[in-house]
Amino acid sequence: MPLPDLIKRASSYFLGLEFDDNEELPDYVDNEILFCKNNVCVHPPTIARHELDIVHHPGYLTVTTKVFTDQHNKSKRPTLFLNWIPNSTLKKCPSAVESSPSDEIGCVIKPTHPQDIPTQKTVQQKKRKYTNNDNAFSDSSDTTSLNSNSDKQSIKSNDTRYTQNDTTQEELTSSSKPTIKSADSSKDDVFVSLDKEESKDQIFEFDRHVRSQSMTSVNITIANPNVENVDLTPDSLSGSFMRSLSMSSCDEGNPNWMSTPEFLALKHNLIFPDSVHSSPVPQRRQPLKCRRFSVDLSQMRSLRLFFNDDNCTCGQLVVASRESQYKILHFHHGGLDHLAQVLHRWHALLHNIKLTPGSEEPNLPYRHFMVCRPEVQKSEQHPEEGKVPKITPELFYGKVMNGKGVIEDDLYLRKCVFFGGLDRELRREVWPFLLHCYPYNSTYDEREIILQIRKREYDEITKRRLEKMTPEQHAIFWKTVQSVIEKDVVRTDRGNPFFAGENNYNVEIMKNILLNYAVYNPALGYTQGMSDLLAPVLCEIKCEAEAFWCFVGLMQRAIFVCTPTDNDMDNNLSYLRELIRIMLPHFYKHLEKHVDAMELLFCHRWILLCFKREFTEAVALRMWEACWANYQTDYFHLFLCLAIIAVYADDVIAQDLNTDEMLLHFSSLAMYMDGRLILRKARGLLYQFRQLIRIPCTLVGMCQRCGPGIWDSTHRPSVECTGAHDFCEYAVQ
Amino acid sequence: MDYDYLIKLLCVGDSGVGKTSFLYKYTDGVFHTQFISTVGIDFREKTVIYQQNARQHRIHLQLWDTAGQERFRSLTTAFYRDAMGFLLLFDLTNEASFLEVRNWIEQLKTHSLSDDPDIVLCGHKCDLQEKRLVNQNRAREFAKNYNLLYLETSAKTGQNIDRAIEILLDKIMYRMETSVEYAMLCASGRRRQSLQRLQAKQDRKLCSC
Repeated sequence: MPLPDLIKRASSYFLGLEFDDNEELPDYVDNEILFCKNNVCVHPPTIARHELDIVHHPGYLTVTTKVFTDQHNKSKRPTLFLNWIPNSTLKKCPSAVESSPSDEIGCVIKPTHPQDIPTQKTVQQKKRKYTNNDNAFSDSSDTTSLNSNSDKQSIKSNDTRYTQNDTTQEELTSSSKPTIKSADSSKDDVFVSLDKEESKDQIFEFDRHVRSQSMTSVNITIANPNVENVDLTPDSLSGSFMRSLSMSSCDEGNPNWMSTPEFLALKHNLIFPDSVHSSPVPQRRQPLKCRRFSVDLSQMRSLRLFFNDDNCTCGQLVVASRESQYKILHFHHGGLDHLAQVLHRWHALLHNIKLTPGSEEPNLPYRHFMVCRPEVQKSEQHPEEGKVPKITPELFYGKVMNGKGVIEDDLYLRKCVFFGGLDRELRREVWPFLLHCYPYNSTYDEREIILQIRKREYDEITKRRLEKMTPEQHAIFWKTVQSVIEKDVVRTDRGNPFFAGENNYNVEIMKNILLNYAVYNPALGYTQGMSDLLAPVLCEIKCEAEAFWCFVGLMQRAIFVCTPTDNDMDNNLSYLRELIRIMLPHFYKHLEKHVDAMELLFCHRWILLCFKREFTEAVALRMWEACWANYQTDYFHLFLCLAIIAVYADDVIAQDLNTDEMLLHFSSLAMYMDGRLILRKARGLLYQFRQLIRIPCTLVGMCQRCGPGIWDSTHRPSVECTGAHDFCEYAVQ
Repeated sequence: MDYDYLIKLLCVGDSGVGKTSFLYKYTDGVFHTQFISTVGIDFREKTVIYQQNARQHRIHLQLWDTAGQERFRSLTTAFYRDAMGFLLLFDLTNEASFLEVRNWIEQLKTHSLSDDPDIVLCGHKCDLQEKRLVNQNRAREFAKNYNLLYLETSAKTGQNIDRAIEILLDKIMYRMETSVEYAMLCASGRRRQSLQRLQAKQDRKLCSC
């Protein structure tokens, strides 16, 4: 079956649309490894501003079958487990094993750490009125032996085929301390293999070796008196996973469900960037260790596969737990297509919860689904996608700009920037044009003159600010503008080397520009967010006066929304609403269902900061340039919003997320979206929009700007009145 | 997450008083000197146990964080919608932020469902003693006039961070207990929405009597 069909089918399976397919489940053995792949990456939560900041933690991924025993009625059902072990663990494991006492090698994990077992004491501790998890992170700085224990465990339980004894949850709860029964007939072999693994340092080898092993039986039971309260209980039946859960459950005597989502996420390695919950912080705690994790896929709220190459082999697997915690696995080296096939083939194991006899209401009122979204289809792309070159120095100085420094065909330049992008080293040269600091048709000499004039003007503004204010004016200025700017500049892009460090003079320059802008344009003054827009411009342009005028261009021309007044934002949001209505009707229906969802709060920051906090800086600036190019529209940022929704909102619809949950969902995606895909999709959407035969009168305003307007000579859509306005020139009389 | 109550708390106060740091310290136990300004709305979440009359409640706290300087009407509306309690912060080392507290209280009264919203006033950054500009008695006096609880907090040392939220939670739970039929409150996570609406209604009723 060709992959696109497969993906479509898989997608509908997981969306629960196509259950009547009578394809029989293939035969399988419990704990059979259905899929394995090495060098699947996890990028731990850092605030990645640059591509280089992303830390890749390659690891080994398996999907195995496993019998899940229902804790309430002991009924059993098969399910799928997804396990991931970091390569670093595989490497360090042998020594951990060697240093362990022999009985531990026999897989009896002793309660060497008090937090391993819930004791009576911890139960009592729970009764404290408040129990907080303030030490969540201190815990994660953790005990190494504990780690090696669990690492070892995970290797055994995940990598080696093993059979699980039928220890039920009842046993788990009744036996009040961890006991690990092991029928480890081949432990020596395993460790031999680990030693080999160490010497060869190759996971392929390891995998092959493991496959040739006889089966190892590992069974961990850890009592957890709170287990019935735990949402994640079924997860905890996984050997290694359970350990981590019970660890978390017993820290400070907190029951599992008291842990913060962040805490649980950290424990399970299910953490999304901290931007989920707060603005990104430039400096983080110590880099998080990437730990192995194991999840019951049937317990997850969603599984999504995002393909990001043309062959549909590479991309991301996004696993979302019911708490909206995400785990993202990056397939940089192919294999995602194969995983799609495996999940397609075994989907039935993820859908049998309802069939569990005896339980009338499955305690899992959520859907599993999977959206396999390949690369933006060719048909969805702008026809010129990929055909327009990037602006490189050779192209720019060879073709775009002539000997006198004149850009004769600015449309060509803007088109190239829009489609192909701009070489980083040309930003200094090209941005002032895009930001209307200089006209395209000016010569080098003319620009020199313009710059002198602009510098003088800038000095005038500075003088006005410093010398010509009355004390009263100054007091007001200080209170409403200066004090806010002073607070903001010291927390803007400090992770960027250009602004880093104490007493960085560039921060002072940023402050001066913002203060001067507030003098230059007192109506706008200063609003939070402006410093975020200025910082990248200043960083590239460097010259204070020139950066100021570029910033003025950025703000004045409303190239994208930079004037954060209600009006501009409201206009943009109402255009966006209309675009959604026309182009993404399913999502529009979803919005209609939920109170206040039409306010599109989740788009607010996207528009305000032009996606700066949603993507890594390199990608965000690429988007800025595409917006600044004013190619075919002045509102490309809205098409970018539309593209994000088009690509990432299937989840929202399928899970029927309400207004607040949507806000959470989309802010969770910050820094994890594929910006290049979004750009391609947005260009495609713009193209589709321009092909429309009719547009509503509500969008006419959006199409009027940009020189001659958005339409080219060959096509002009008719305008239909939607009846939204009282007086509409397009209304049919 | 399964929980008995979903409680939405807002953290408000002037720009730069330390709202994000406060919440971050509370949920993650970490303090960072370098934050970036909040733009729009951020959430933080935490689940805690609350003991009330020998009953334990699992409370899912939704802590909303916003930009101190918020101009967008639509955001403000969403921010205040269904809010049940407020942490009002000012910076002890910044007198202007203290003077603004009065305005913030007006804001809260305008936007919240109740005329007498549950507010805990926090003098934040109390670790910076040498830079302190608002003395404790003055703040206490002010809080007394407005009938607010006052605490001095620090995200750096963690002083009173948990306590501020506990006290606020106490007030909210007390209000809920006294205003709503107890049995009706024991909603499962799935009914939390209706619970919240119910609570909102009850609050409105409260104000009208």
